[in-house]
Parts: sequence; structure tokens; C-alpha cells
Amino acid sequence: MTSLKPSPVITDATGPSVSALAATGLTVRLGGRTVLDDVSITVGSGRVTGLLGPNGSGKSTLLQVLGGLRRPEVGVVLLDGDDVARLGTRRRARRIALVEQEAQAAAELTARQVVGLGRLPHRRGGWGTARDPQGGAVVATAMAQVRITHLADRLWSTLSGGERQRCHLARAIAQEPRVLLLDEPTNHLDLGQQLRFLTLVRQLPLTCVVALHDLELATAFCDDVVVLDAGRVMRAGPVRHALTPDLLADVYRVRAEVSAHPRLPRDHLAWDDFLETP
Amino acid sequence: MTAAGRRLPYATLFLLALLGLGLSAAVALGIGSVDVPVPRVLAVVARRCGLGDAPFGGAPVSLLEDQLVWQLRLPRVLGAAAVGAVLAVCGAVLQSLTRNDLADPYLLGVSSGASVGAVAVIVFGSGWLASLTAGTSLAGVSALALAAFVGALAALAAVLVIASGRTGTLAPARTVLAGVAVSYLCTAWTSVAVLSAGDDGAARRVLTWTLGSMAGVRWESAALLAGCALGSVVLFSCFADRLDGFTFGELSARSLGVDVTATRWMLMVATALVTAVAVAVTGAIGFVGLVVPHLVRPLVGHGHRRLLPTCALAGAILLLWADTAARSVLPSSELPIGAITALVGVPVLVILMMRRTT
Repeated sequence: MTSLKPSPVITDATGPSVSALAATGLTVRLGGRTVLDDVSITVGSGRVTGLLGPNGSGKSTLLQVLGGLRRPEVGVVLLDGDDVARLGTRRRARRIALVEQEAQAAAELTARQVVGLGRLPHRRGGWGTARDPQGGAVVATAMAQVRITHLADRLWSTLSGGERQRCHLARAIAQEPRVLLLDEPTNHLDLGQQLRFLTLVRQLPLTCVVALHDLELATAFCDDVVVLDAGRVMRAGPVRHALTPDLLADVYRVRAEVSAHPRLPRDHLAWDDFLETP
Repeated sequence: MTAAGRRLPYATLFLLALLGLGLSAAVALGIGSVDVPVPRVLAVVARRCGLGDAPFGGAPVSLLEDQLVWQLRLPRVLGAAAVGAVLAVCGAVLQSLTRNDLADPYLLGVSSGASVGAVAVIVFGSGWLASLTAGTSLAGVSALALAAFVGALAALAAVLVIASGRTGTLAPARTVLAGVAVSYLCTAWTSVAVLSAGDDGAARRVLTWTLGSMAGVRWESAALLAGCALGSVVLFSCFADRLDGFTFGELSARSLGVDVTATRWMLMVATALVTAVAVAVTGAIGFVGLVVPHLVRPLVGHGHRRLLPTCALAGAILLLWADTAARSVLPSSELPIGAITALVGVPVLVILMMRRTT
């Protein structure tokens, strides 16, 4: 079994050192509703940034815009200085990978075939293995990294929720990206699988942006957080500094605080009660 | 449960299917009003390939044998195999592209559009068309086929205009609805046209055309169909990776570097065009495009690089035998080939669905 030792969370860092992703002035409207409203954020290179906020606050839309999968009406996203909207689909897919929550398969592939999908943006024209000579090895390494090598020949429909999400993670790793975007990847997983999954994510030497519902998981696994509400950035920064009691009261309508864990060398979230909506 | 353990290796299966197609063709060429044994069939083909009058010893090839096998049956067998391959491959591509198990090659209104053109010729005669095409050389293509092709293109254009809308992305749900809407409109027009003509012969000819027939296939149209079949297998195989990328939906495809909108346009228009050619020549043969991909997936899996060529072979074999049955079961008349594909296809599909757990 995977070690569940929580990774060290640097709560006292003053902020991201080098920004891998920098978004400025993102605005997205959907059918007259403003989903993102002048959002500007920077994501530190090699750090895990949590995207937090209540339902409908714009987390998924922001992830899609950050990944170049949706064009904002206004604003620009720079990945290491390049505009992601102008990268070209294949080049972009070699730099940014996405893991969705519970993506449904339309076809019955094996786990290895699903992970192999990650090699699509690396294939050149031509036939057979010559199109992607390292492909097989990269897929094998990715599967070993998330510990699903033993599932390689299993059919998708026979895998559990946790195994499927780890397949998706391996598929994303096989894309050999610099940035990994995850949209509520631990929804529908039991607690053990949630911890196992996020521990694997933390071990990756990648810049990660992960939309999360669970503030406790965000506190334990993220370096920085960005808190959205109704399409606006309410707070951004290291977890301890960002998730203050007044912010939690404003955005989530709860009386809660992030404090040092009584027993473990990390922070955790302690909540008292919910607040009546004004 | 592993996926690999229960299956034949792909290379073996593919070679078996190829061999099956060759054998089927040789046997089917001998079946008909006058039976020709398989060795004689091979002798005819070998002679035509320039191997001498009696290539395998024995009696020299007779004129009758040559006429039957080479002039009458071979174009038909070739045409049937080609149409089967085209329909099966297009069905597989469209099922993946729309993530819809019920998608078939006629999704974009091609068959109903073609029937508008065909009915126009059957009911109102081909004089208007002949005057239109006078002077142009259309070797082996009848006025009926030409009108059907034009009708199919018109329906396709209408569906694409409706489906692309303001975004131009050809979203699957919207495209399927547009196809259904245009199909109903075309069907309404053809019903009114046939009934108002008040001619029972015309109604019968329309019904026969609608169910499909290979009877009119000659060498020229067989070559055209074979070209369509080879072209579509090669073209769509080049898109196999991108089709795999659609497994987890549109967003996932885009994040894997697939240009979703361009791929949809390319594949939907290409499948509709080759289907339109097939429908124009042979009528709308149902069920092959819907069923064959479902039959083949359990054998070779869902990866398109294997699925598409195998679908082409399986579709070719199925339609080849369906046509052979259509022309030889009844001594005096032909059965509609579409009825035969349904008779064979429905039970197999039902058995597969019953065995499936999801």
C-alpha cells in the first residue's frame, strides 16, 4: 500500500518563486451570465495550487481557460511566457494535461490503452511504433508511477472509481506535461482513495492546479490556494495565509479556522458551525 | 477478467477475415442461375489477369463462363463488398464521433435526401435531368443514381447548415437532431410525391429502390465503389488516433491535442460523401453500418486502428453474402438486400445486447 505520510506543506512561504502559469484579466460569459469576472492569478512553478470555492463559483471554467481548452472573452493566460490560446492544439497538449472528475468512457478500452491515449500529442505521422518510439516505455513508467501496472490488461468497466482516476492520472503523466490541471479529481472516491490519489499528485515534479471541494484536503495537500466566489478571486496565497476565518465566513458561510494539527506536523481545518445566509 | 486472453491475436483474425473475403467472393461468383465450380471461377479470373486460356490446365475457359463470372457477377460481387466496407467503416466512425451506439452512415440525412432525388426521377421521369446533363459524359452512371447523389448532397448541406449554427462546432446532439429533422422533411416529400403520382408501378419501384439492390452494378460503378471503399479505409485509418481521443468526450479529446471541430467537420463530411456515392448506386441498404461495428468490437477491441480495417472486411463479407442470397434464394425474382441484412443483423445484435452487462 502507498505510504500515507503527508507531504510537507510549506505554510510560511511568502509566495510563488517563479510563476509557471500567469493569467491576467480573464472574463468569461455564458448565456448572459458572467462566469469569470476579471480573474488574475499566478501559479508557482512546481507548486500545488488548490482552486477553491462554492458550487458554481467558476472553478471548472477557470481550469479550462488555464488549460487553453476554452477561450476567454477578455484576458490572457501565459505558460512560461507563451500565450496558451496561441500554442496550437498538439503543442499545448504536450505541455498541459487535464484530469477530469469521473470522465465516462464511451468505449471498452483496457487500462493500458487509456494511459496510451496520453501519447496522442506525441505521435508523428507514419505507421506503427516508429511514430512514437518512446511511447511504450513512457506508458509503462507512468503506470508504475501511479501503481497500476498490475491493472494494465483490465477492461475499463471492471475498474473501481479509484483505479479509474489513477488511470487518468497515468494518462496525464504519459502526456509528459509541465502543468497538470485536475478538476475535482477525488469526487466520488472514498477517503482512503482520496488520500492515495492526492499523495500521488503531490509526488509529481509538476506544476499542479487542482480544483477541490474539500477544504481539509486542500489544507493538507496544497501549497497555495486561490479562492473563487461568483467568478471573482476572493483570496490567493499560501494556505495558512489565505484561508482565514473571515474569508471562510464570507465565501463558505461557515465559522471555521485553519490551525496547526494537534498531533501531526501539518495544518488542518477545524469548523464550529455554519452561518445563516444573509 | 482480462481483455487480451479471450481473443484471437489481431494479425490472425485480420488474415482470417481477408481469407474469408477472398473465399466468399470465389464461392459467390459461382452461385447463380448457372452454377460455376470454384476452380472454373478461378480459371476465368486468372485468364482475365493474363495467365493464358487454360491457366490451371483442364478445358479452356468458355465464353459463357467468362460472361457469367467476369461480366455479370464479378462487378456485382465487388460492388457489394465495397458498399459493405464503406457502410461499416462509416458507421464505426460516426458511432465514435457522436458517442452514440445508434449512429449509422445515414445520420446526416444522406439516404432520405437521396430518395428525394430518386423519387423525382422515378415519378416524374428523367427527361428533365437528361436535358440538364446532355452532352456531358457520365459513363455507367444512370440518371437515377445522379439524381440520388444530388439529393443526398442537398440534404447533407441542409443538415450541416442547421447543425453548425452560430458556433460552427457540429455538436453531436445538435447534428443528430438536424439529421432527423431533414430526414423527416425528405420522407414527407417523397410520400406525397409517390402518392400523388397515383401510379402503383412507381410506388413499387420506389420501395424496391429504398430497400437497396446491387442489380444495376456494372464494371464502371463497381470500380467507383471499390475506389470509395479503399479511399475511406485509408483516410479514416489516418484519423484512428484522433477517434480514440474522443473516448472520454469532447473536453478530454481537446486536452489530448485533438482539434475537435476540424476533426468533426472532416469526418462527418467525408463519411456522408462516400455514403452518398454508395446510396446513389445501390439504394439505402440499412443495418450494415449500424450493426457491423457492434459485431466487430468484441473481437478486436475499441481501438480504431484495428477496428476500422476489420469493420471494412466484416462489412464486405456480410453484404457480399446478403447480395448473393438476394439474387439466388428465389429462382425468378430478387429479394431486397436491405431486408436480408436486417434478417441476419437483428438476431445477432439482439444476442450481443443480451450478453452485454452494461
